[in-house]
Amino acid sequence: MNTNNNNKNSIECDSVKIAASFRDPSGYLFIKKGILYRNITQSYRKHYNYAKESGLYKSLIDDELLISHSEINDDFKTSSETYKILRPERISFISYPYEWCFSELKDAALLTLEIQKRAIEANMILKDASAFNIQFKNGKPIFIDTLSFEKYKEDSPWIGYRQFCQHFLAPLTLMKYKDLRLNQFLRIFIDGIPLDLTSSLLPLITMISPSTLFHIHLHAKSQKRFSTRKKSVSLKMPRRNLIALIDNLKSAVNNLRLKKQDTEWQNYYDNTNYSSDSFLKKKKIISEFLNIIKPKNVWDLGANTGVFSRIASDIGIETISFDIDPLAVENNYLEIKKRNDKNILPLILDLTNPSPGIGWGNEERMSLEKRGPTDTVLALALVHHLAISNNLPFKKIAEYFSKLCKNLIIEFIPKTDSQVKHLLMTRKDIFTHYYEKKFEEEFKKYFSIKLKKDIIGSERKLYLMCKKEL
Amino acid sequence: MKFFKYQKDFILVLFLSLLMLIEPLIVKAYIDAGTGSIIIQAVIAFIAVIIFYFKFFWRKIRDFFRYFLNKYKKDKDNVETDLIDEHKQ
Repeated sequence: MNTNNNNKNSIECDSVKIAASFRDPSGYLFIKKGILYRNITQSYRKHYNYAKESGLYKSLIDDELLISHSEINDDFKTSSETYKILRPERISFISYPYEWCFSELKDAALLTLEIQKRAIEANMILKDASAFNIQFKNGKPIFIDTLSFEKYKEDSPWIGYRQFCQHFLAPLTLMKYKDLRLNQFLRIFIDGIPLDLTSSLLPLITMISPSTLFHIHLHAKSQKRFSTRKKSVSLKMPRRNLIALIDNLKSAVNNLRLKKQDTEWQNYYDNTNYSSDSFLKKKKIISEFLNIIKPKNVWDLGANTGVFSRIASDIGIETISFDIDPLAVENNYLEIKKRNDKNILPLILDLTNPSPGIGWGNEERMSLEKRGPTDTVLALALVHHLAISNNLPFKKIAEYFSKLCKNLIIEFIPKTDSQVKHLLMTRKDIFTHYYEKKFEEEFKKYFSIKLKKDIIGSERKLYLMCKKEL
Repeated sequence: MKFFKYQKDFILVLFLSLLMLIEPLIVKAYIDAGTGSIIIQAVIAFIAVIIFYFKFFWRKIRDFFRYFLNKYKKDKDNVETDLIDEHKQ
């Protein structure tokens, strides 16, 4: 018996606790020998068993609404505090709500409500409603917190309601009625956008919409009115009322739709000086390069609506399609939904100020760099924006790219190109070092150039580079 | 009187029973639900239920009148067809 126990792994030894999982006492995530595990504490025992026996876990996992897991208690030497060890299915790339476009956030909100409805049917309830409990898998949102379910106590209200409004309704209404870029508030406020702030920013017209009036404006007023109350609140909310609340939230989220609008990059491909022939040639070269390196995953930086990302995703490569423009990312996501693409995830990212580590100790949510490196970065028609619009020297660009990837497919656009001319039109040309030879020289410090090809019909060049081991 | 003898106990039992009925449901969890958020959600849920029942009864009333209206129309059409048939004969 003892020998058997000694062969088992201890949880504490060589394991790294995930910095994001410390708030909920029901359990925590840890990584041991590269494998992700979830420790369930004794305090969650009753709820875990109920979710399992009621068939809630199975039905949600079967319908791909909840991440799957397997129980692997036998492999570990556990303490008395531990009830079970699970091995959850791992999401290949963790994304955050401040990187999602409007429809991604909306779909995540609808998923939370659908799960809540199913939980109530199974006599359980979601005890929180954090947007960080959702990730994207195969082009669709999926719930990742197995320990968010609690046994439903008859007549109790929804504890997660405030969080749902702050994490989903507030950013969605701000994006719809004010500006698409306001989802960036989620980066500042880790527990969702405060409702008093949302209420003060929204235009008066939102008072006419009953859902915004109640869930945002009056909700904010109610929070302020009762913030000084010293006694804990006591009221009964029958199950029928709770279901009505969830249905009401569902129609409130469903009714949030974006107006049709133009975007900075939306017509980019119409305004470039590619002929349709050289556009096809560019696609062909990228395809050739991808066939040579055969990457497992690709990050397309400055992907616009994902035209070139699809070259990679269509051949089964997991692709993250980043762009600064929220509407380009929105269009990319809608296209994915239409085509039922499984290998591509569009995200909002300002490469000149990429997602940093945020939360407690700046460790709760990872920076972009920490979520890498990826096999291959696609940087197409990007370098001139970084070097000229953002005054970034080639050295800085090469250095940062070398931290993000092992292989680099990069396009160089000379000063004679109409796009670069356009960027220089309203400013002094201080970029004396912006030329092909200098570009190669600086990138060679971090990468070795494997291939270089001209895009016939334009003056642009495509490079395939591999990271040097420094 | 016996009632008065046990009046104090009776009141206590009544009070406790009432307390059981309106027993405060103290909401506690690992995240703060927020007093204001609990109150507003109860109000919204209450209104949503009223709207639901209103819609439900409105549909019932509408269907009831529709049924009679359709029946009336049908009867009228049948009478007219009969008259046309009689005329043809």
